[in-house]
Amino acid sequence: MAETPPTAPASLDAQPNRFIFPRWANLLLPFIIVMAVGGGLYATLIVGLGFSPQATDVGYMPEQPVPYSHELHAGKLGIDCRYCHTTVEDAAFAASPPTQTCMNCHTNVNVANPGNIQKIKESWNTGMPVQWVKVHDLPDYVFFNHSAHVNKGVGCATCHGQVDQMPTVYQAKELSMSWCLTCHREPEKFLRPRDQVTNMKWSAKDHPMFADQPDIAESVAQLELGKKLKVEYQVRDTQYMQSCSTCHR
Amino acid sequence: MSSQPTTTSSAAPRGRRRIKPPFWLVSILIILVIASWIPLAVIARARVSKSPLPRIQLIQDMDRQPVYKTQQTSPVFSDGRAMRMPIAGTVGRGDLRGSDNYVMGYTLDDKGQPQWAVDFPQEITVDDALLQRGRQRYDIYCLPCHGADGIGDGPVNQRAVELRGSWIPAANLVDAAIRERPAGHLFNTISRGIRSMPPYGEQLPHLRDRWAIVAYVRALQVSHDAPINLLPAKLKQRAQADQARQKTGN
Repeated sequence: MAETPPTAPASLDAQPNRFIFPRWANLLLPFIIVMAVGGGLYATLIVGLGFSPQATDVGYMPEQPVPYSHELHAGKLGIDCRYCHTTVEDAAFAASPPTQTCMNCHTNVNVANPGNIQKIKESWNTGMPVQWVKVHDLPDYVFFNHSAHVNKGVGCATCHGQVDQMPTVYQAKELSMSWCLTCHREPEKFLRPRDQVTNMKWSAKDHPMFADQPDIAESVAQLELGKKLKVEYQVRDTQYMQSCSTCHR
Repeated sequence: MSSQPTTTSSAAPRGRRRIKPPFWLVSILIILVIASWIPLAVIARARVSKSPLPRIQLIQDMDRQPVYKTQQTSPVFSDGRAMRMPIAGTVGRGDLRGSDNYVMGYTLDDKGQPQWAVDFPQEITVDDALLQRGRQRYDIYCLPCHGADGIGDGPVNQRAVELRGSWIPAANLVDAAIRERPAGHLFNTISRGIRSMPPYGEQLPHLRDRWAIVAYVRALQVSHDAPINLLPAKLKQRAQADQARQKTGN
């Protein structure tokens, strides 16, 4: 191909087969910048909102083999959590009750939906356990101890939500490590008297300590009461509470 | 070279006015913007809704390890329990520590007949702490049927009566018949059940708790028709006011 002398070209357009960027190509740079900045923000949004346990874990509501209603038993009938979950004060694991606990009442109770009770009776007659699905399930490397929490004044509802209003139990809280640490760093914001642990309607400002301050804010009352209980129940210092080996042994 | 400045200078004002991007570029942009809302909508839904689908584990780590934990299932055993049941009749270590009266509520006489412990066994000191514990345990395990004051109108009992099954109403614990029962008999009833009442030994594994409930039931029985003179000053005033109101009402 013969080179044109450098002085020759009158116009670039005059040369055939020569690629010329179209005029809109000038838009590509701002377009890429906008996409990079916007995409970055977008990715942050997606990861922040979508990867959080609020999206991935909270709201897990598995179907149970028998549609047992906590709303009826714990809510309407007001049966204490410990009637069924008997081990919670003594052991790390708050056991699901054996079929016998259901049969305490359901041997003679006539119910609205006998088909459901049939499964319980079948379990009772055959000795095969009802395979309840675990709703609140921590990773296997976390050694959570129910008795340690319940005996130091952490309420059931603090981690499990308003179970007394759940016809089917679901995971109401994040149960992530950062979520656990909010309390391990500042337990005074969550502690309640031991005898109120299973109370689903408990609030700090109803405590007799604030009887002469009816207008006290819940958060203020909680903090004041929590600080007192923290000392009374000998809750460990925050350094211990945040130590790795406290939960990961 | 001489013509170049003229070309740019003539084109530049036009470019600043309006450069029309090609159709495909505009389309991609619009589609991207619209599509970007789909993950956001899915995430928003996941954040607020409840779902029976398993939790999403974006990072597996060692969250689920091939070990059996409490109350898990195992395909190895025919009943599906990973934990084995204790052999029938197993007694936990320390469960029989104490006198027969403390452990069972009775002693066997020479003929092998049970003799109820009339009063609390020597291991138990009836004090305020025991009564408070008894009240707490009573409210958990007994109140659903026997009611807060022991007369047998607990919420479970009420509902069961409403539903009209073969429910036998819970006993009135402040009734004369039960008042006369020896303490050991009440203890045995809690441990092993009686007639249609199921045993609560499994749910109340600590013997002291069962005795605490017996003590609290005794307290309920005493309180039920306690003379006004025995009440603390504050309650006494209230009771007297109530009585006065009833008299004037009649």
